[in-house]
Amino acid sequence: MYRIFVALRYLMRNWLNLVGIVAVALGVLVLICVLSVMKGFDQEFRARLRATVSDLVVESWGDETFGDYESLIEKIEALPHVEACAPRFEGVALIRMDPEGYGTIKRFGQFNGIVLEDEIETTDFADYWRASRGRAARERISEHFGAGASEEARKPAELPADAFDALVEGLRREDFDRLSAGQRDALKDAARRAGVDLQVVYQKSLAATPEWSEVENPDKYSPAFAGEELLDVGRDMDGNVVSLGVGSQVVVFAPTDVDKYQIRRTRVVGQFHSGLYDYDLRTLYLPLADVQRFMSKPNRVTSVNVRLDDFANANHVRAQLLGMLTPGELARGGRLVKPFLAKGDQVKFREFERHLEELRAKSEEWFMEGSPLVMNRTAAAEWELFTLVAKALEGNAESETRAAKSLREFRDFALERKLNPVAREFHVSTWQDKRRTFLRAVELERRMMGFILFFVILIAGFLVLSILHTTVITKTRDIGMLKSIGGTVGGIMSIFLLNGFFIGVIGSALGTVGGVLITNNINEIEAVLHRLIGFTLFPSNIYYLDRIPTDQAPLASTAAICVTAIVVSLLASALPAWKAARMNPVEALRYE
Amino acid sequence: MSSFLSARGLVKDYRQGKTTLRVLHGVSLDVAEGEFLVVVGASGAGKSTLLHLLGLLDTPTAGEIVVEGKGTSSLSRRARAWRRTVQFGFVFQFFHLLPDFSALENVMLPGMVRYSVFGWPRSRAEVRSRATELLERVGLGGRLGHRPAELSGGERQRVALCRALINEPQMLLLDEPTGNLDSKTGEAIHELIRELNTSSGQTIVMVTHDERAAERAHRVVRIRDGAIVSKK
Repeated sequence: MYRIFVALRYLMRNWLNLVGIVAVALGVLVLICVLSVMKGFDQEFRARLRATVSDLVVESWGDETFGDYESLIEKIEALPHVEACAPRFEGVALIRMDPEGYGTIKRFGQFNGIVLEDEIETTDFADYWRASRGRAARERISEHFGAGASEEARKPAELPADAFDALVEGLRREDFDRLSAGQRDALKDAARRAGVDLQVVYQKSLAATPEWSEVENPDKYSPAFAGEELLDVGRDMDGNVVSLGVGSQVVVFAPTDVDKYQIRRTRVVGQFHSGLYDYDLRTLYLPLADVQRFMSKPNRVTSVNVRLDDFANANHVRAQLLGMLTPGELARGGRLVKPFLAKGDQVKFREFERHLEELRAKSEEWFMEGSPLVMNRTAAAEWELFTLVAKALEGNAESETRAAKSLREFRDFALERKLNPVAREFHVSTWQDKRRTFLRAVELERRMMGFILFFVILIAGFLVLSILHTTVITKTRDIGMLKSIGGTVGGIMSIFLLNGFFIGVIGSALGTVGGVLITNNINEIEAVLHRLIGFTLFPSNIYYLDRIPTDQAPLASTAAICVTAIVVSLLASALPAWKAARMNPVEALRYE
Repeated sequence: MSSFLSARGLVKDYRQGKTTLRVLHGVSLDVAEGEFLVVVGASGAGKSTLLHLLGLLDTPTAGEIVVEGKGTSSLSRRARAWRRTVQFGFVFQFFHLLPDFSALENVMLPGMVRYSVFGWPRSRAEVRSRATELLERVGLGGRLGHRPAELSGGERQRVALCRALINEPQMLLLDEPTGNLDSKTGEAIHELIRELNTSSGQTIVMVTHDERAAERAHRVVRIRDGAIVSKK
């Protein structure tokens, strides 16, 4: 009984304990606040990231395009949980703008060829486009994007007033073709003088692709939907942001090969604002039909976006998609199996089994990671190989007992996950896979912050240690006395351990309350700070956020923080407590 | 009178760095039940050490202490601690009251040591009333809530005495109980101790350098340089 009694009394009678409590509370408070704010950021950016990507993205291997996407979409839309699909043609581009008085601006970025109605069905495009500064009318956008080519774009192509300028800005094949031989030579001369490599454009003009020539009415301009940061070209003399407005010209240089690129002029018909600076700085939405045309890939897309009823079904649908999209490439494995078959019964089972083990381990890794690359072609071929080997060895008793068994196990393992280990022509990613780098960075950041701030609690622990050490020193005679009335080693130890424990518990409780209060009122606190010292803690333009986002740290992590703080306090008090317990009572009592 | 405690050939060495200091050179001593024994010796003679050994607060280098016919050398630390709680009561020259606790709480403390967290609620009232009673008996009934700092030297030693008595020990061990008090207050404490012995037959061992204190004892043992020189 005396343990608790004495510990509580020591706790209350020594103001130093208050210092320890405050230290622990501050540590807990800071951790909770920072983690809450970071979680808030995380949530906020997840929501924004989410807005630009659909739940699932079906892509072909590599950056190849694929055709016949309409029938694919039909198939996908027939699946349960699928709400909508949208084709996309994505590509990288050099984006060039020539705002009057601001020189030439070139930015590396990307273009997304979309069908507006479908895009709105699969992503939150409609929302962030509405949030755009331009507040362009939805009707106008639909008009430009709807069928692909717009009325404005259908205007007869203007011949450039100055051929050379036009070339630099993005002379197109037809324009070049219209020139006479003399004009072409003059243009080449001008290009040479200006140090511009005309060769690429020239060659391109000569090697007109049949797809291109089939296009009846090539428009000079594509309507473009640009991120609002992309259109920011600078500031005027008063410091106001100057943006390219609707109707401005933006030129897209899209590489089609290592030494070839396509040039497309576009006109801005609207802005969008996704809230992701980088995305808004580098992205241009173009009508899918236009992109297909100028990339010379008619009726081909790079990906199909899939919107689900609930993202929780993503893995289920993905597995179904992978099963469905499997092409009949099984024969490929047949070629690999020959060397093995040639050996016939001489196949080394050990080697075979080890190989199988490796393959299984690899595939297990893929499954666990939920990687879109469920299995690559090699693995699939190997799988096929093993199946064939097993078949060839069916009569063999030994293979029946060992190799076949392993094979069966592996097959069952794969089937269990409804994923047939065969080659994929497509891979299917969730939006999280697509934005993995960013999500991981945020996650890692949060973990690192937690780890670093854990040291604040550790420091509080050291403070508790020194406080308790002082207590033990000043209570030497008390300890001697307690021993003389029968206090045991454990008893004396627990007095000081309890002291540390109480510091931890009270500190954690105060820290949690404080942390939650601060987290919930962080914007008000920021406002007060701003008024008092005139320093903006959180400039709203950096993150596009007008207030600090917070999200209550989940109960589990709050509990983890508190438990950590209490354990650290306990550990910190262990050393002084041990010292106290080991004290010789006779020594302790000897002197006044 | 039967022998409650007997010490046989107690030797105690203190190690100070490389040298070993022998404080007691084979002390043998019997304490009978109800006896008031005074050990007299100059400071440094080893009398405090002897008292600590008798009260199982320290362990002898050689020799043994027999309590109620049973040897104590084989007892565990826990068992020795338990005996200190229930069989022995210590009073020290410097009182050693816990400064953070009131007089009443100081007296009740050994009671708390005695009972566990679960036993305490049942025994609390009893221990409390006994502590109050003891303090009233020594004339401190009005100072229960005072902290040691608010009490005079004599009052503090009376509180210490009460604390030693709270668990009704079989033996009271007093280490220069008046050494830090003026003679008049010391006299009152001595009177109290003697009265305790005569009225309730409390077994008492007191060590002191004060020859006058020995006058009231049943028996006086003189100790010099760690050995008993005379018994009376």
